[in-house]
Amino acid sequence: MNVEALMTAFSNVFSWQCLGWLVVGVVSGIILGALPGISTNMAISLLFSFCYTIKGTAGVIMLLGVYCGGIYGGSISAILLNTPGTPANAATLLDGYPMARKGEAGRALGISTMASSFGGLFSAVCLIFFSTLLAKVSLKFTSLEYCSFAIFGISIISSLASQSITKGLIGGVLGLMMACIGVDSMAGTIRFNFGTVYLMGGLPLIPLLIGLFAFSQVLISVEEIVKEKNVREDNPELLERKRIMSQKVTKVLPSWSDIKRCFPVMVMSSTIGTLIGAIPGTGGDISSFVSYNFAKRTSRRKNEFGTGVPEGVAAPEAGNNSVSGGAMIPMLSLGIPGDSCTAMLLGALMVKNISPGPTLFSTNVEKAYEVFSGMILSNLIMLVAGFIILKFAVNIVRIQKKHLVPIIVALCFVGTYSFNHTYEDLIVMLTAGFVGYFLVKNEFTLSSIIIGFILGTMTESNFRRFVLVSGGNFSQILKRPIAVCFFAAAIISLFSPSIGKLFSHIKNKADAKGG
Amino acid sequence: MKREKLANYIISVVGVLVGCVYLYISRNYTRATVDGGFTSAATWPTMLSWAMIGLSVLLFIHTVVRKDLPTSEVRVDSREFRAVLLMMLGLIAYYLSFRYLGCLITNAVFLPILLICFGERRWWFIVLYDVGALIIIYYLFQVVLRSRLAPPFFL
Repeated sequence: MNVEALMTAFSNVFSWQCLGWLVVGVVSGIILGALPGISTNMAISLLFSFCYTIKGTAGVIMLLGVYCGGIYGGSISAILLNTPGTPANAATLLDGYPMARKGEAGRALGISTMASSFGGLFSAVCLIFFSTLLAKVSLKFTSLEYCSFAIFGISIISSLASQSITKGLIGGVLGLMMACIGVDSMAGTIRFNFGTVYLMGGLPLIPLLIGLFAFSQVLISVEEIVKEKNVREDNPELLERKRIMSQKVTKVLPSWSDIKRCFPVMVMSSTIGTLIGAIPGTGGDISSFVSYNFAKRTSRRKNEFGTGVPEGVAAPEAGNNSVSGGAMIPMLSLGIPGDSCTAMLLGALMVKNISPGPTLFSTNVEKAYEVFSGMILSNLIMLVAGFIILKFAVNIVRIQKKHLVPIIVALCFVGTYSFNHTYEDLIVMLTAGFVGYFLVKNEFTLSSIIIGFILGTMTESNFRRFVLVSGGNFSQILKRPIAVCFFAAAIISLFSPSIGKLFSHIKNKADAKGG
Repeated sequence: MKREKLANYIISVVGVLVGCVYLYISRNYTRATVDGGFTSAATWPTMLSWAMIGLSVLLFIHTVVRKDLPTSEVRVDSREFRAVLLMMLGLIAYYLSFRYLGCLITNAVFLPILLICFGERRWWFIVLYDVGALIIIYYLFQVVLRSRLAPPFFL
């Protein structure tokens, strides 16, 4: 490890400016994550406009804070409202809400804060060790390995993130096609610009991100506002929520017995979360359910799970927050994002002229260390800020969607405009938002589109470089075992749901015959 | 025809059309080659176009064959969808106003309209919200981030 670069990175991150923006990022992430209907993706895309106006890497570090804080913030509404703030917190409500109903909302929120910070810190330490190791290994990668890994990433995201594999793949291909717009990286040809100067540089990432993740969500929120108007005031669920919200959130600091009880669960869940996070296409939602199920199966109190046990809150929260570090491993060492949040962080690094990948650790190592320090600090700040914010948790989740939508619309427009000060960006954002709404409503996943878009140029240039080097001889692929493994994994990931269905169908038939 | 099937058919047709348009435009880039003729600027887009056409056809066949399709969430006849369509029109008007009247005037006018549309009736809340939002936007973008807000056409 380069100690000098590490010290430089620490001194940069510990500057007042950087620390200030990091606190802003973490606090905004927690608050936005706690509001139902605002996902971590949306929180990052809304604050993305700050990233390119803030000097240096402070903007990227602020977004790291939003990423970590956003996942944790979602647990607040899961516990108090029985509605997860982000999809990653869906498993938290299984035990968090019953605890709140028993009058233990403060205890549940405290355990969630502790477990989230522990998971985040654990994965940040793993990130430091494994990304440098992976970067060393990946220095031996040729263009074919990069191309195969990118295809593996897109295919696994398409198959895991979408309910329909075909639609997931259509989304991935759409993203790759959008990346073709602009100057071809190999021959310098200007493609698909339809005669406009604006598209010569390609589709801009930031308006696309804001449109797909924030603006489309505005339209979905409008639907929900109209639906909420029809809900009767005497609805039993609504009355129960009001009763919980009238409680005072007290005793948020976890007791020593709770810490001892949850510690083994937090270690296991953090390991699971980091491993799951490192696989492209997975995310906090998968990790939290896997961690919850593992904790339940291995617990002596497995029958009590679902009735409001502290382990049932600690496991999913440590699991989903540890995804952050895991997902950053392939992003920093290979330049391939693990999920849509890391795809946006990759975009943020690119805006700052930092290219993640194996060369980052040889040419720009202090920037990599700044990200590491940012990750560790984000989780520490989250621990402190989390316990302070919990005092106002009830007030935060009381904010209604009808009051949020207008300000989000304004921020989408102002944020997009401030990127390049061009009105064409606003048209891209509006179009992406409208299209994104219809795609989400028809089972498409926006993650596959955005990852296809971000990886498009890299995949194409590496593919063409391989063809150039191999002289058009595709049998050369068989001589590269790593690439063969990635291609095989891509194919397996696409067909695994169908194979699984076929096996269960055969098993059901056999059971029926046997029965 | 079931709503969900119709949505999938439309997506399939749009997918094939997008693929064909890309394929047609890609023909112009075939001469731009750097590697002795193995690939050109058209190779990758052509591959993607065929992939898009193939996947769209697959989705079409899958929709025809499969009986238990999940319900599409877009219900054209619902109140919610009509509200979304109205919102889309409103946002286009917002864009036009943003372009010609600038950021501050647009938000001063549109934020109260949006609040009223969503059912807010307390006038003092609307005024406070509007003024507060404008101050936050101005302070955050113009003062802290030193990013110019969109000016009106007369400035």
